[in-house]
Amino acid sequence: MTMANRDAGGYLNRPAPSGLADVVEVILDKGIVIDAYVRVSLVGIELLTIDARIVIASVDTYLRFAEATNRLDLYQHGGKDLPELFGGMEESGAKRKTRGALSGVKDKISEAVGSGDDDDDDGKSRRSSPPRKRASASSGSRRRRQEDDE
Amino acid sequence: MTAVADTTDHAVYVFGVVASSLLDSDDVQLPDDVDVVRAGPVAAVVGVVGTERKLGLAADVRRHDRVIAHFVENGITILPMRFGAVVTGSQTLVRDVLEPNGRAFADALRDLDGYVQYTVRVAYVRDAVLAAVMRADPRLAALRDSARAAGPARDAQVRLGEAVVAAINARRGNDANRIETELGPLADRLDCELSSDPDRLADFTCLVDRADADGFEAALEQIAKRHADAAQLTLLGPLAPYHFVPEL
Repeated sequence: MTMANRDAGGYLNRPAPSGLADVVEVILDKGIVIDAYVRVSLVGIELLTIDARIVIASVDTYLRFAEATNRLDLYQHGGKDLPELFGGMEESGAKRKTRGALSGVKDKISEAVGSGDDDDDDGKSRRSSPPRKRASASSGSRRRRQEDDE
Repeated sequence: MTAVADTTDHAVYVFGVVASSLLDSDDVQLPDDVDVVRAGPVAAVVGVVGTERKLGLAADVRRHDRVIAHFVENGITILPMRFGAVVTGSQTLVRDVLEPNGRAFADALRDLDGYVQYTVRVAYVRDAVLAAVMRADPRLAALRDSARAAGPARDAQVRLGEAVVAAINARRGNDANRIETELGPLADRLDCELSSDPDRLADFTCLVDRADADGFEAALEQIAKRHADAAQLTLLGPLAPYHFVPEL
């Protein structure tokens, strides 16, 4: 991701060097995860994670899109033709498809929660605060540990 | 092997795993602050990290990326760890990580040898997708009219925005399928992850033979050009195969 930008001819965006957000999405999201057995010997360094990936639409998002919709001039975007975006095979937008953003968010959340589980059930853990909420049972014992440590 | 640690104030940060045989060439230069810990056919690429501070600052993330990228740029296949893998010392690393998973690592390294990952991030051109959803669903135009009539009244604006975002979310899967169809022939493996950000469409992760990298990039430029009115494509890579490493 630190490769020099090649001359791409203009349409394809090729950030070089990659923005931090791009790097974070790649390296926090994917890669080999050491399994639970090994976590026993992991060091309890507190991991700061920046979760730039989960975007849950908020009132601010809605207001932003309403504003964009209000100033949209439909006749500058596609004239009177069908609402084509990608090559004219489009079905009616009224056919709702429920797969999509919602399940995407769920996946992200479960991944994000999973990725915080580095070093529990380990009496030697020195992590000072859990980065994620955990199931109540283990978070209780973790909290006691932390109080002992601090 | 300087990365030993097993003290309380330092630990071993694991960047990734490579084939030991690839390290034997004199051509291979490791980054300054990086070392390797070998266990038979596989070797971990490691660094030392202090345990008295939090890990995950921008510099830490950049370092992880930079070390992995170094191997990719030198044509060495590396299985990247997810950011934040820290073990107490080299012995622990060998005993608890490299030896138990040696077979899986070696298989994956063989499987992925010669391949790189590209991530294609696709975002909507906002006005284009807005126009598309407005035309597809007359109820949105009606909502917009009432929002306009209501002036700056917040509730009407929120209702409009919510309906527009829902309409974009509803079409995202179809739009992604269309792009996926075009990317499919270009990659040995392809994965699509729909975005949750209304402005974005999806991220496509492609596993591409290094030998085909130039052709892939050229084809991507054509796809970006073809859809320039509807979407903005961002290409990240070539990267290590973050997305295609085995689950242990």
